[in-house]
Amino acid sequence: MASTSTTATVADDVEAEAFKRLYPEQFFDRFLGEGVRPDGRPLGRARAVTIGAGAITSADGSALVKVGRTSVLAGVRLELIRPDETTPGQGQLALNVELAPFSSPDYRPGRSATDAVSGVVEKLQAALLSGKDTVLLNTLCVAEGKAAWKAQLDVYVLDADGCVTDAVLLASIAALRNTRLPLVRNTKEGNYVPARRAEEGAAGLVEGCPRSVGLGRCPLALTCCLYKQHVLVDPTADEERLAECAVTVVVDQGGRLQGVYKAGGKVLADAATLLKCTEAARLRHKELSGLLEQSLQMGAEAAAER
Amino acid sequence: MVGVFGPRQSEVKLGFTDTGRLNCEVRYTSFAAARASKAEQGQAEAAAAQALSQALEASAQLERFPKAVFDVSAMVLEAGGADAAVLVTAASAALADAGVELHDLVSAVQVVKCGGQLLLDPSLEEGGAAEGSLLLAAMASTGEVTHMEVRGRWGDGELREGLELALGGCGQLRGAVREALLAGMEERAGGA
Repeated sequence: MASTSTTATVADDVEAEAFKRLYPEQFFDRFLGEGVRPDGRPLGRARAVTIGAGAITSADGSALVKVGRTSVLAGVRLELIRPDETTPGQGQLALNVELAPFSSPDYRPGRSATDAVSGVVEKLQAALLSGKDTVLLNTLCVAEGKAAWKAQLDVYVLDADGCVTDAVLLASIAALRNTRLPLVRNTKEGNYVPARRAEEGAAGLVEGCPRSVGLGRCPLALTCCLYKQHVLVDPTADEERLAECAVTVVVDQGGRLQGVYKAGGKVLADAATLLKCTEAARLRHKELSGLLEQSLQMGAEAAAER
Repeated sequence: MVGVFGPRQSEVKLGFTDTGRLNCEVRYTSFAAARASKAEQGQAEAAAAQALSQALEASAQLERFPKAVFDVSAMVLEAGGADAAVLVTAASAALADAGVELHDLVSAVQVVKCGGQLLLDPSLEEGGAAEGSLLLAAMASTGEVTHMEVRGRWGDGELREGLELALGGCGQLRGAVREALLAGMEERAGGA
């Protein structure tokens, strides 16, 4: 008796899997008709997030972020440079996003991994560097016209299961805030070099050099999918593939809009839908910023122990 | 982290082979290690990829997959010493997890000689200060070595001692990998 029931469930499993592959839309519609999604979430719920600030000890600042199965690793590497002549009082921030080959089943060897994420880089660039009040580049300046930090922010997408932009932006913010700028020493020859930890308090240190990257705002993103008449918050890769269009909303800590992206698609979004997405993004920002503070605190404590 | 794709059809330009091939690719994150330049990093990546494919080739039953290619792509998130050994172990585990038929799991360890002492699985500082290093990749259940690299000056006795230490390490590691694979399978079976 027991054996027959187990074979029945196995057959059901196989059938469900086959059904999903052959008729993804019908498979999906059945769930949505009940008001749930294939992974058991209601339509309006985002996935659980974990943030690990300071995950990589060899980087100057880093964060590992997971949104459901989507995993993103961001790291900052610092370098002392002579500031650009046109902006003597500013440092630089270089952004780069890369997709690991094993992050997505759509990846094919030979295709450049950066093509797939060029849209993400653009959004990241807009969120962090446009408007000049998000990342405050003047806080990266050590001595005007002479020395400034160049922060190289590299983001690696390790597992792309939907909402890559959201995770990339969150990881970038966490990594930047996790970054500690070392003290800078002015050598006898007049060169500026980063001081090692043992030299703290030694002669020749530059007075009042910055210790952290200044962030005027804290932009975070939330992606929603529009599928038929439904709005799916924080979709997985499967859902993104099915849905005709996605709306990404970037808001800052005050709930102010910093960017809305709707990349074409067959479905037209009306004002009410966009407002709904914005509202969801504001709620998500509150949730995430709490987690972010907590994780940064833990990261700082761990760094102090080392 | 390591991912495996395949089998896929081999590219025509590479000619016909009646056995499968492993196509290994290794990437370091830019902040994985303090490195001077991009070129240096590229060299390290190429060298690591070569060592990886050499260490794994013998373990996979490639004759069962004629004309096919497996893509093994690895990414080093943080280099904290003995990267090459960890790469091999992780890639072998990924191959097994992907269901590629293997003769046995390959596990690899690094042993360094530091001030007359042998250290198993060195940290970055220990690796930098070492006078000699030994990288051993082995199929531990049969005790067969797939790949070995020895650098620096080693005496006969020292080398034997180092080998024994490394083989012991491989055995331990193989047990751990096996357990992790089994746990992963059970989890998936439970989730489905």
